[in-house]
Amino acid sequence: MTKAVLDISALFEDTWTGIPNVVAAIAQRALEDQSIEWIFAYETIPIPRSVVLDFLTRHSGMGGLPFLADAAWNGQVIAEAEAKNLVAVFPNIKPVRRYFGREAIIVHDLSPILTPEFHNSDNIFHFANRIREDVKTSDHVFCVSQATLSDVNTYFKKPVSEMSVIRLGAEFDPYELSAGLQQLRPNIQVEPYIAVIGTLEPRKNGGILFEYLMQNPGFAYQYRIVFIGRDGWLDEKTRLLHRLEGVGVSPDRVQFTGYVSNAERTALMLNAAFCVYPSFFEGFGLPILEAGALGKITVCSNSSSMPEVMPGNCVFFNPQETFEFVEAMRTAELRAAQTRSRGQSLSDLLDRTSIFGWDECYQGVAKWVREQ
Amino acid sequence: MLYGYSSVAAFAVTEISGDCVYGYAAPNGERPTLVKLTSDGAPVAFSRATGYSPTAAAAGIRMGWCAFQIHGLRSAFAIGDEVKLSCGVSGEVLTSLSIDMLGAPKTEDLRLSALDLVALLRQSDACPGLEQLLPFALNHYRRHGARQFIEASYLTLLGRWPDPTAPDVDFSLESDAERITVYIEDLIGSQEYKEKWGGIIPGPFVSGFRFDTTELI
Repeated sequence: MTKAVLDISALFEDTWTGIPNVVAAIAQRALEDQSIEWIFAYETIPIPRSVVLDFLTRHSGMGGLPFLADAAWNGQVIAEAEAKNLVAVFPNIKPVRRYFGREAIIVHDLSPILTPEFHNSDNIFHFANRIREDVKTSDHVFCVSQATLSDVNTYFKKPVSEMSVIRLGAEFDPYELSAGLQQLRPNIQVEPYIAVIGTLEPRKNGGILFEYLMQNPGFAYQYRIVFIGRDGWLDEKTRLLHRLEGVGVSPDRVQFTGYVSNAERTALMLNAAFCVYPSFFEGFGLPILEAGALGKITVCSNSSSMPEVMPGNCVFFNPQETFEFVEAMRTAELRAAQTRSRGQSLSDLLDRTSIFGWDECYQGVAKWVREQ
Repeated sequence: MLYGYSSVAAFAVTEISGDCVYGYAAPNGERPTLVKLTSDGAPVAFSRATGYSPTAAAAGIRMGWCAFQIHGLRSAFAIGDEVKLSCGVSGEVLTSLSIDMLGAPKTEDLRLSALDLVALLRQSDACPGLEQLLPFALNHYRRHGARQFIEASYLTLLGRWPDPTAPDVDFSLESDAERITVYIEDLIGSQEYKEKWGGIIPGPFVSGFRFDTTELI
């Protein structure tokens, strides 16, 4: 049986969004895969399955650091001699290079290099200093979209034969779907709103909503604008609030949820009239897939990977062009009115979402591991 | 894929009000249970049993932290005749429900904003009062010490790490219980807490709950 290491460092984060969610989905399947002997590791420190299971159950790595400190102090690492006989998969930046016999990395995007204006200097420095060598020293590179694969090939000259695309998934706990179905509670009416999804950071281009509102202030009285996501970097929330001052729309027509749990996020997407994802650049764009899986129309940028994700459920626009955004918002409003996405039954939703899971993504990784 | 749930070991319906069934479902393991409402075999709604039930608490079950509330009874009887509650993990039928159990429909309409919707979802897993939160806070204090207790309190109640000016635990108070009670009451009395949670006290299954639940539930 193939013995392989999965780096789960990202799971030690307190709150999981983006990459930790990808690692969680892969780790979950790895735990159940009897055909590969997976060793879970923080860099080169093995992590017991019970700890991984605990993280997955709590959907958080909070409290894991003391365990890690003990393990590091006691020198419990995978010895280099043993590592040479192992296959390793790194779902993000590699902590070691050429330490394991065969190594693969998952590249999500080259955003800190291709669009540095949207990142802080530490992040750019850290990423730019590592990614080229990480790619070079990997026997295989998994990319989360064709757009990312093209970027890695173009900028780092990694041969396409040493790369493959793994499609990310969207999976919903039936409880999460159920909690969001307000038709189960007929006395509750949720006011009309649109959901702008994603961490608050400049790359997500939330400001285009305010340019839109300056031209169409009446929209804010028809639909509240709800930004769903935690505060990110470069103080984007303050900037957005500042822009709101000049729009001429009452501040209470725009709301920021901050970090929300999966169930809360699903409920917010399900009850929105439609979703908006105006990002300038993405490696994949998981919220587009999640919204589409829930049957929601999404006003979506036509840049980078985003047109690949769920084209049938999206109304595309150029994120640099407010005029196109205005048109897309109008089209989305009409299309959303023609769907019954707010009136779906639980059975409909379970059927609809069942085809978007993470199995295909995991199988892509597992297939390469078994072949080594 | 169902993940993070245990099958049901003990179950009771405590109330049916309007079209909502209230009860508790204790798990056969550490992880909470999932309860499913079906109509003629088709799923209508699911509920995690992660709220607080005074009845379960009085029975000494999981300190009460296994309550469920499952909406959609009216919809279930509109769809079919055989309406059942079952374990969402094993599929075992827990009870059958009849249409005469259906309560009168709720007359007051609620109009919610998106943030109200989030608050409503949080409410079902919240602590009804401070006394339900304090055992977890005390457990954390005794297992991990004052510094980590402060960090867990800030993360749980304010959703952020303590800043350098965060107050210390008042060691002049005699007992551990007094120290943690005063500390938690101060945080809950703050404007920052009210703005974040709107008065809701997070329970142990709310995402972001950081107190140690070991050997309690």
